[in-house]
Amino acid sequence: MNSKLMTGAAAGLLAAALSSTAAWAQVGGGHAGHGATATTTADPHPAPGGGFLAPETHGIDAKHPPLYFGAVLFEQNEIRSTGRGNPLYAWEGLGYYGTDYHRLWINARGETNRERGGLERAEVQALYSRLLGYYWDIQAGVRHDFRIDPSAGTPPRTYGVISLQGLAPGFFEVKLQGFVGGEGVFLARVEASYDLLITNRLVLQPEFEMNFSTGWDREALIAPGLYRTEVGIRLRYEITREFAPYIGYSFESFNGGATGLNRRLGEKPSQSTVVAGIRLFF
Amino acid sequence: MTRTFGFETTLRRLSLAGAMLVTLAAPALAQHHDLTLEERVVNINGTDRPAVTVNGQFPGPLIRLREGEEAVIRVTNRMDRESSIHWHGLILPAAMDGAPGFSPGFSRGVGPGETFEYRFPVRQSGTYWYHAHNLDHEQRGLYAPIVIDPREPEPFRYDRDHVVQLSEWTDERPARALQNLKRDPGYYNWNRRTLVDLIRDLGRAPDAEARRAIVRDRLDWAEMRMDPTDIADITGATYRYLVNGLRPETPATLLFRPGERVRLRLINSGAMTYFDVRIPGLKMTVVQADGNNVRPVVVDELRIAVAETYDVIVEPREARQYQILAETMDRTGWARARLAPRMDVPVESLPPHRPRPVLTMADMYMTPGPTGLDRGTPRPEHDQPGHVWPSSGMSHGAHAMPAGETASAGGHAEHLAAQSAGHPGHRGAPDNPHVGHTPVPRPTAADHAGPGHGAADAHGAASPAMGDPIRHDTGAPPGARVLSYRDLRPLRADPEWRPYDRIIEVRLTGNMERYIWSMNGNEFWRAQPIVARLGERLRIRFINETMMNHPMHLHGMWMVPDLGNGAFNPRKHVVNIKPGTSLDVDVIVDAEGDWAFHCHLLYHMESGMMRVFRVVRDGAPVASAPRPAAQPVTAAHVH
Repeated sequence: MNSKLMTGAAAGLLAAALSSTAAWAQVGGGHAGHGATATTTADPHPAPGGGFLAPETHGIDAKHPPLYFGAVLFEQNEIRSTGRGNPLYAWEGLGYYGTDYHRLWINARGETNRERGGLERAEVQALYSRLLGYYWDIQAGVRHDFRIDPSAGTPPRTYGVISLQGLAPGFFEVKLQGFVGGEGVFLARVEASYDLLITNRLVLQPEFEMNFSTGWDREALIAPGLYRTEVGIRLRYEITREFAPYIGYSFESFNGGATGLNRRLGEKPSQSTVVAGIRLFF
Repeated sequence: MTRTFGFETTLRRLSLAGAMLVTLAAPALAQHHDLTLEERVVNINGTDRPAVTVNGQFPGPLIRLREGEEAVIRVTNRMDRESSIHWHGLILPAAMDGAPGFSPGFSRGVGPGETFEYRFPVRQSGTYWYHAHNLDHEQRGLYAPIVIDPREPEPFRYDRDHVVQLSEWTDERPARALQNLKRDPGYYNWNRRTLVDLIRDLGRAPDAEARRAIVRDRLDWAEMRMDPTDIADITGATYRYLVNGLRPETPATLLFRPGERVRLRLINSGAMTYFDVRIPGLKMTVVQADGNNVRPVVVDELRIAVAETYDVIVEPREARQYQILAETMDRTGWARARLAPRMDVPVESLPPHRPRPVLTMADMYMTPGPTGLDRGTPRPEHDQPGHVWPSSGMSHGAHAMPAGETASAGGHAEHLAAQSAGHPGHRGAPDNPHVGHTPVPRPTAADHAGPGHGAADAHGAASPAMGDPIRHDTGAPPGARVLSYRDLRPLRADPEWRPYDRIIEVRLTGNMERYIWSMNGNEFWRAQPIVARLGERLRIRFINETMMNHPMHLHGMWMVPDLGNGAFNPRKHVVNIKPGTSLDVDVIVDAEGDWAFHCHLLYHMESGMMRVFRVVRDGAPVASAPRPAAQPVTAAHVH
């Protein structure tokens, strides 16, 4: 419990630190030293900002506030099949709402259980997201891994999150995340994907994800070093931007010490699946 | 809109006056118009959609005014949201300008159920237009032509007069379209470069050298994370392009009799679309630009930027139809009308589209690289009073520097080499194909006469690596003449021409990935007003750091692009700034008050590319502004 609190506090602190860079950035943006005429000295009102709510709204006209908007993207929304047993359903998506600079950001992912059909694992991140540069957002918040069935699956975990995501040179979508958990381990996750336009509607998307840890969390199947990888390739057809059915292939694997942890549970440490789904964007 | 005029100017004026008297029964010297704004259903694409109409018309009715008289226009809003009408290009008191939030006493515009009376003297003549000053209403149809008859006889002769108002329509809500762009700036671009294109290009390449160049080009663009096919933010994927409110499938028919001189008043009322206009079989003689008479210039084609107007005279001699073709700059659609001797001639087919333009590295010339918190430039604001940016050698060299940093980190040295060649210090390296066709503007007399400036030879336009800021590549066949701003020379020397008093730098900035648009890195809601002093001649040095064209529009005052023609530079209300170029534009600051200054691409304006242009009366002589004092400070910021 105590650790949970600490995590939350850490996340809050991170978010506060991030948003205070807003004020700093705007002072740097040249608001000092202007005046109505050449004779007046520096503006007595420094740029406000530093709050969660759109500090950019200090302009001359409240009637032209920045636009608030949101989006939801389910990059993965699919059935996965190994060819044996029940197919499972998996999803990975994001949603945000806010301005160009400040957003409330949700990441969610999970999958159903092969045998029982219920939820196998689910993860939700609630983040504050701030535009850091031309292509990058820096994010901070909380991640929670749910335990749906108290008798099975991995236990619930809560982490503080700090994350950097954006577009790297070459048009690679990149996400780097660090997680601080109450179990005393520090986790890191690296994700990257690329949209290869075969035609303007037919898009091949390779992606990979790697998870690292600094220590053991045996119940959650986490081992030091690289403990889990995911590689996939998906071919989608964008009927509209909103609606794009796809097929693909996905390979998931536990690595290192986590392999043994899985074996002990009687599960295979890796699986390759054929996937089919619909990418949604709205 | 179809009026026939006699050859005699006097006759024309008499009949016009008569018509006015009969229809309006107005007191002499005041011209009364009543306009009612209403939402009504239109059906452009097969579904009923709500449009904003004026007096029940989509687009709105033409307003005809006379120079030297007073216009009284009562606008009644019968919608449930505030609206407004801005008289585009008209020189009038700030309170009558119709820009909500700018014009005094007009902070909310015309509220629901309210009537606002515009009253202003008409001090000019020519072709203009009016439109709502908000995205939603303007995109949905609140735009219409204004024709102002001159007090003096026109300096050119014509027998017939037609308005050709270009615009576009979308079935989507404009706010939704803006959100789509915010969520995915490439939302409407189904014309991106693909793997299939790459394979085809490689297959067509003559040798290994060319293939390497193709691959290198691809890698360079990927490295920069920019899309060279981003020509128009909103495309034919959702837009239907209109002339006088009519789709190209059912074009407007403009009548003529063979042998007549027909005046076409071209108005681009599009929200986002540049059109390349041509009339196969006819030469166009441009006689007016943005309402101001110019020396007649005969062209085959012209590109009309958003919100510009051009008056051209054509002389169709055969008794057949002539298509007025307006192809969108991104080649995803057509607007068209036709000149025909009869209404019932069959509709001709449209020609195939010209190849889609693709941006080149020259269009990136001013882009310092996508770095920094102010989205596209590491430099601070320069548009405050006192922050005068002299035309020193630093100016454009400084722009190449940040790009150099990006390049050395990322490793596209080719690009860097091309850019540093543009640095005034390394003069004379690569040959720019554009420079051969039309000479780049030379530093003018104004450059030399301006106070407190440095080396005029560092003038941005003269840098060899920068694209020609004026010339348009419309894909016209060889030998065809395409209008450029340089051809626009007023009939008489501008009586108010004089050297500029000071320069401010306005960088057109943006974040293509997030669809943020700004000036000097600050969007409207975070920016300070640009302050000018009444009576000064202010030179705005536009530097387009983005990859898109921006039609910059200043309310209430004329802008004079410096094309190297001194007193024969034209007066305009919209000046297009091409991607990756710099252009000097003088403002004759003669109207007190707060004015809107913005990019006329409505979605750019709405996402922040707008400023208050505040003209204040100032006792202090303009020349006393502490010009170069600010420079060491800013230089420290830069380097």
